[in-house]
Amino acid sequence: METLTAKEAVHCVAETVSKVSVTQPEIKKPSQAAINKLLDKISAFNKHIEEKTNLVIELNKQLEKVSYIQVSSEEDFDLVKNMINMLKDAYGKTIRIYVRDSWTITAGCSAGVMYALKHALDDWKEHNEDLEDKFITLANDDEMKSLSAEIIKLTSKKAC
Amino acid sequence: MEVYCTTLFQKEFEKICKKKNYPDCHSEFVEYFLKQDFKDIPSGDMLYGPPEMALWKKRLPDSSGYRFYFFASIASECVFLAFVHPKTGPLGTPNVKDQFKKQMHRDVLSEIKEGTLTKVTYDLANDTVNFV
Repeated sequence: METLTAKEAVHCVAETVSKVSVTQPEIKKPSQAAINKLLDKISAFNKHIEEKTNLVIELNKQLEKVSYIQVSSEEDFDLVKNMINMLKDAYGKTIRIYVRDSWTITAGCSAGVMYALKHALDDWKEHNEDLEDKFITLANDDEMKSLSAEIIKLTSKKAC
Repeated sequence: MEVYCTTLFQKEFEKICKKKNYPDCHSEFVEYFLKQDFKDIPSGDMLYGPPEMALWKKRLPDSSGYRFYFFASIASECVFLAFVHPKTGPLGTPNVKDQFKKQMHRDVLSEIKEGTLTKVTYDLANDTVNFV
């Protein structure tokens, strides 16, 4: 154990104390009105995000039902194709707004609502991809049609 | 109702269940696929095919959970499990591509033809999933 003389110990303490007590830049306490205004803004933002999340969750439920559609005409195909393009555009805009506002997660004021929105947006993206695969990419794939038809044939009541 | 799975499904399911990050994969699977009536199983997203034998994707227990891919034959009341992945965590994947959906069709078809599909049963006494 290192033993200091009284002089050395006092010198060390005095030096550290002098550093601690150095004046630091001042940050002024905001007025209560300013604090309230900021809290109101955060609260309104969080409410907006919650409403948007609920809308996206509702949209996801609707898209699940869209996956049950059987496209039987060119008119149906055009309708569904346009809807998929509209969905992709809208998702792109929405995710850009999410990224713009994602600083609120690290700022600690909206993490919970923002994570919930991200989950819903991820689901939306997944639906968009699955619908595009089903109604556009795989719809005219001959190998897929043939595989599906053969599976149906082999899994009839008798075969299973 | 009978439940079958491909070799790939069994491999992935067992891999996921071994990870501590996914403690509810086994129970979610049992509750949905092995304890329900057949009529309640074909639900979720219909990824491809006619309703009588479609490829489905089911999110269990919810959107941040697991994705189970399966075929459900309405005529024979058989379920054919093709693939599973978690959405998040170390084995997490955001989605599967169109070519992989085609591969799931190839896998199920070839295993039906070769008779290599595995039957999946539930042992209530031991709470275990058996691949026979």
